[in-house]
Amino acid sequence: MMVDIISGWLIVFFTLAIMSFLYKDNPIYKLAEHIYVGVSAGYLFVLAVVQTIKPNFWDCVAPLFTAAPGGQWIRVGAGVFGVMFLLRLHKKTSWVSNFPLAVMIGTFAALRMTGLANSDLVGQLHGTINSLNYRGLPLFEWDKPALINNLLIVGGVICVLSYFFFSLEHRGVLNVAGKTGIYFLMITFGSSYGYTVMARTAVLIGRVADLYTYNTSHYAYATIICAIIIITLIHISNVIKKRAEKT
Amino acid sequence: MKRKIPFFITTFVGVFMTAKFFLKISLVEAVANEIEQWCLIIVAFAILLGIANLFRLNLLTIVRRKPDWQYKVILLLAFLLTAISGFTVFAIQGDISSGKNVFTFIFYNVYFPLGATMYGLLSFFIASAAFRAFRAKNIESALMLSAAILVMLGRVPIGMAISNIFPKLANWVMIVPNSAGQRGIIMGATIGVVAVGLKIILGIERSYLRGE
Amino acid sequence: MAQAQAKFLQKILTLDRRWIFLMVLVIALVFYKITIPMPVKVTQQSQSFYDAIEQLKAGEIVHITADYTLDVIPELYPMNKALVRRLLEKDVKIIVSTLWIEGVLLTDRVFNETSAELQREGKVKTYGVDYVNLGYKSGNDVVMTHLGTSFAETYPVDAKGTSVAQIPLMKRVKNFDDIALMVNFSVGNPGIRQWLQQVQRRYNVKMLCGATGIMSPDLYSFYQSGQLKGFLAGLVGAAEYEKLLNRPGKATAGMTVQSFEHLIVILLIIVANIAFFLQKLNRGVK
Repeated sequence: MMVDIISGWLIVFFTLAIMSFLYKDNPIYKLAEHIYVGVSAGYLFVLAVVQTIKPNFWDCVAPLFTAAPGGQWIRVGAGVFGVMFLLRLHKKTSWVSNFPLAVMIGTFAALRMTGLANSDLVGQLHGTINSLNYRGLPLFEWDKPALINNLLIVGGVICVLSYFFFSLEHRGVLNVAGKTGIYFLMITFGSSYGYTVMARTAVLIGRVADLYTYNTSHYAYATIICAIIIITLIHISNVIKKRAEKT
Repeated sequence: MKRKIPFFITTFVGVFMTAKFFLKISLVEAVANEIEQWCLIIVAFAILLGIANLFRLNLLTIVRRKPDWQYKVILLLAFLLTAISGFTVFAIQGDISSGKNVFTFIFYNVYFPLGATMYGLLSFFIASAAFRAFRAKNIESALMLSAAILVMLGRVPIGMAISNIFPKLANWVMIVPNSAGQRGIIMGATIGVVAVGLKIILGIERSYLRGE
Repeated sequence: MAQAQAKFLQKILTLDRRWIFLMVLVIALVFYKITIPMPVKVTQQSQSFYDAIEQLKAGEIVHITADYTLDVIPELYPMNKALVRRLLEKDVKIIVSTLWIEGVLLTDRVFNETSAELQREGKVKTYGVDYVNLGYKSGNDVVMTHLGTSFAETYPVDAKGTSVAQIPLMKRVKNFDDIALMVNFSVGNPGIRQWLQQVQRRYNVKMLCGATGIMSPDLYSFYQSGQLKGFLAGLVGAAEYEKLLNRPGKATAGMTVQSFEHLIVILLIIVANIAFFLQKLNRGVK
């Protein structure tokens, strides 16, 4: 139960410490920020070793040293390349890291190229051309496929692509299409903004929920007391800073 | 040699990974699968590189007593505590994802509130940015503003409580003009990615290697 | 009079942003406690998500990729938990993997809470038979394509360190051919866009998504093209899914705050624009 209460106090303290940045930058916020960076680096370090290096590399290579079955000599090369990557830290040896980097870049370039072309180009083109299939479609629907909706989508895609086409000067039909494309893009950006507000508000709801949860007698009103402590500490740091500036 | 061999590696790896997509030949698939395993391991070592760099930079700040060096001490202590607790838990119980221990305590009670609140701050800044910057100065910005207001109103229950038309309009805006705009951006960006990918694999684009 | 008006307008337009922060915080604190029941309208994409899940049969395997972080727990955790509970109720088997480091412990928490709830109702679910947490793997796109070759090669051990060869559920799965459906909970890159690029068309996988509000506008074009069979958009999407399941939870409870926060942002935009135009008019008159 003591652990539970300490948990609640830590959650509230760190939440309010970060929120104190809204008033102004202060030592409590900086402390919380640095703890966050340290803990996230530590967490990432543990997971990289425990979930990737150990099962995918060490478990395949270790049997080779004990003459147990299941060892893969080829996997030793991956480990060597991995260590070569670490040599990037020093200026004189950083050229060695180009070898494993080449493997990474080549792999990701190929995967991205084929994956995007297949899904984002062919898939989306397929969807756009399919929209021209008017059989059995009603004239207009608010949220289902309809003739007017599909024609607007096809027209909109062509106009937006026209806006990004710079091989020809934007004159005449291309100019009109490009300008229409801008209007479609503005609606897109406005919609994205609306959803961004929705997403960020949802995160805030989560924090408010925690502040209420831990502001009960079981947690000794952690929220109110932590808020008072943090405000006091910020005030003290302001006074100290002003005195230091005067001297 | 220092530069030629990496280009050869990039081309070799790129060709096999591209070939795997198109060809169902067992040799190609076997080589490509092993390349993928190598890549997984190299990426994990890249994470270790990032951690090592973080350590080095912060240690230098502490040793040279640069401004705010005291906070870097806290940072490194937090890192060491998390890492040591994680490996200790793994050594004792063989996994880090279950049970009540120091590692999960740090995750739920330190990492979680800090990270969540960092991102929660953005909700305040987005409201402030909307007030200061969102102006309907011309047709384009008026369109953007209208779409934003319509979506914000229509996608939440209060929009439907005010009028039935708001959720219908908001949904229509998302399904029709927004889809068209997004699709145009996606297709345009994809053409760019394919072009750059080909340039990298063919060795025309070399800026990713140090010293070029 | 005109000078006083100009001063007032200038004061509004240069309002200290901390007053805006305070407004946002007060709205959130007040309306978190005052819940006003409001109708939630179910959209086509949420309905499609629900229908795809309901069409699953007992014994089929679903691959969930919990690619999300702690900050989006309010949006994605409710839909993740609602989905896992529904799948376990239908006796559908679940394999979870993640490409984001926080996903490992979050997945564990979802399973622990859901199993405990189901156990109280007399339904016992066993790890390794009904669900598996494969854990985290770094490598993004490479992990995705490698899963298409072999789940066991990509994840030789699960999140608990047990060899997948010893896990009964994993013996039934070689690659995506053995998966009935994939559901991705997505916060960014790597996420649903990368799964669509690397896996959906390549391995012909039926795909659903629970995405944050920020990612959702992109997904409409993939839903419209048929690449995505359905998706839940943000906290509102989670509330819609809770309505369809007839099980209102945290997402539905958050709708009041969400609504009033949106209203305050809209109000701020309108006030700022009115002040801006009045100021422009005054300068024009001068």
